[in-house]
Amino acid sequence: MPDTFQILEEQQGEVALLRLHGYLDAHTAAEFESAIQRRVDQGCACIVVDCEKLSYISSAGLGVFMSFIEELREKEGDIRIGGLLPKVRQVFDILGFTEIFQLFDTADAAVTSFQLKEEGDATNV
Amino acid sequence: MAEEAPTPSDPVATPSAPVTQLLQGVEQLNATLDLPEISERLLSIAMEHCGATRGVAALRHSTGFTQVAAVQGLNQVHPGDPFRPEVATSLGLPMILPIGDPLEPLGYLALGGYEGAREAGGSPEKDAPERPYLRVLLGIGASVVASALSHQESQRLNEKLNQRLQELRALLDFGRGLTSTLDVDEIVQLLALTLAGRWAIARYAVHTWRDGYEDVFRARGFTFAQVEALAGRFPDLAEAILLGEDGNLEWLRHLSVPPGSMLIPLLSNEQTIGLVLCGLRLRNQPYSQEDLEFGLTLASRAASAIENAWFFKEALSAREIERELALAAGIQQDLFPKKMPVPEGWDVAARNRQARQVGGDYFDGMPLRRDGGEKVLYVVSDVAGKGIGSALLMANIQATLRALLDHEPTLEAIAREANELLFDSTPSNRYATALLLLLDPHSGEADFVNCAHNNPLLLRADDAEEWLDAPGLALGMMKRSTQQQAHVSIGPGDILVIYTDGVSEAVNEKDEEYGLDRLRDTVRRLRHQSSKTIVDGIFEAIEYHVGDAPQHDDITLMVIKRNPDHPPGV
Repeated sequence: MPDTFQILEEQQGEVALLRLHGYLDAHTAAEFESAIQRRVDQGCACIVVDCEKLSYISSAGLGVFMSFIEELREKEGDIRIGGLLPKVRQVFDILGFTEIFQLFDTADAAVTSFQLKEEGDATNV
Repeated sequence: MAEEAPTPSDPVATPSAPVTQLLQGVEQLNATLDLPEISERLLSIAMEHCGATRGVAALRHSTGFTQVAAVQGLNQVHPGDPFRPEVATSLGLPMILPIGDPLEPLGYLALGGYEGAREAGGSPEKDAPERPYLRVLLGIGASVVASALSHQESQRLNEKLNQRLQELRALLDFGRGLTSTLDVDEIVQLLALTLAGRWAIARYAVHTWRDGYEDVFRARGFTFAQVEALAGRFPDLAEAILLGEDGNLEWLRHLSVPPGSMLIPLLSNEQTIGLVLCGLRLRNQPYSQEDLEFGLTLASRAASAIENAWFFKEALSAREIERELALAAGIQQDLFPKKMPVPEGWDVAARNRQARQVGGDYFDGMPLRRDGGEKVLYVVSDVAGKGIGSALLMANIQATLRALLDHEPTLEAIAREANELLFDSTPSNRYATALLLLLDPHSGEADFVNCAHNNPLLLRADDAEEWLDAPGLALGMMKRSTQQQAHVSIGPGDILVIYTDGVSEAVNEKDEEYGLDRLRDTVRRLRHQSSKTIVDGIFEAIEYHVGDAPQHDDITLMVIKRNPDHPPGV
């Protein structure tokens, strides 16, 4: 029996942090898409997805990541990923997602990467 | 060991120099399985050995096509360019050596700017001392290239296997997802997400349509208008295609859809029920033949799930209609009089049974307020057709009659006015036969209008039978009123039976009608019973006659009986 899918949401400054638990597949992809869509609709452009507790991802789950990337990057934001387990990372690799998304060892590092950019922007002003 | 390596200028060391070089070269070549690197090293070693300043290493692919893999000292040649030994000379590369078996080389080394040779007169013989060394080097190079090629091939196969595995997983996951939904929007969403994830595409659109329903459309990066334009251009798409392959790049540019995007039909029973548009892959990988097949497979599974979901939706709305019909039936039942007006000295009963939830038969009894408030109008009517339309017309007839009742001087005037009102308010295929009877219960005198209705049976107290007829077309059929009033006297002990054709035409399994004779006989048999008993008795007799045959028509029956012990005028 697959783990129940769960999304825990936090806001860290400008960054929306979504922590995924369990299986992200055809049954749960829609829920994940709505969660991100909600954040995007609220005007959030910087999103970090914590995959440390994500035990499985299917094509439909990866499709959610793809669905927002253009829109967020156009808004100078991004969707970044932290803490992929080796088995999940392998799927990212095979489907070429490692070349498209910025991956970090931990979600914290991904959140920090956004904050560094913000600080950089601030000092440039 | 580098310090021990003899320099080429050292005459004593000369014989062993090529061997050392060769060993070093082999070592370098063996250190990698990367083909571009191997080509680069092979070329460098050979050039260094000969003192060449220009050189090309080219490799032959499994397709037979030979491509430049490494190049030095030539600006006009680049890795990836096609290579043909014949033209190498014109590039200033006179020495062309096959890598591996000369009859089936794995590639070539082409060298030139070969100063030593030129200074010595450039004769081929002068090249001779270099040749054995190069041959050995190339022999070793060939085996290194061959093993790198096979490594590359096994990697390619591995990658292909991984991709197929992912396809299979995506299909399985998609199938699992489909089992948990009967919602077209959700199926479309799942299809879009699965394709987006499988191919790493950020732009996609799925559009599906069905007569009588709102279109379902889901897209990222594409608009409805773009997909509509594609649907117009590819109306009978039967397979997945890559856009732009038919050469119409200008049209695509105008539409802002990049060439190389994939268009997939949603096919259900060979009918196109939708389209899927997939934008370019983010890694700039073109779609392969396998991708086209995968896309069509996934889309076909989605299409049949969508079809099922529509069926489910239709079944649901059929159930909703059923519920609404039940509601309508309830309202219609309320239109029938709860209690028939029964004047003193008379016995009146009526009953209706509908073939469907709502029917077109109607009966009523309404006391008049005028003329001392004693007269009563009895109505039995049969609206053409069945179902909601007939039920509405029935309600219309009732409202019209009730409105006219006290305002028109005669029954004929009521009938004619009702006819015109109904004609104006209904299509001409909507009409109703009707029998209107205006009874003066005191005298037993009655006027009646027969609007193409079944002639009522009047069974006299002395057992004589009469069938009440009067000229007139059905109500609402023609603008011109044709209804004419007739008159009848109902004496004590007389029984009037008004009925619809559902009574006389009720058929059994042998297709025999219940008929007027049976009706008359039943009334005769029950003539001393109450009106209600006579009505119920006729219903029973019809049921007995019909047996297991289905009821096709509404059945309505009204019995008006003048009590025998109540002589007229008393």
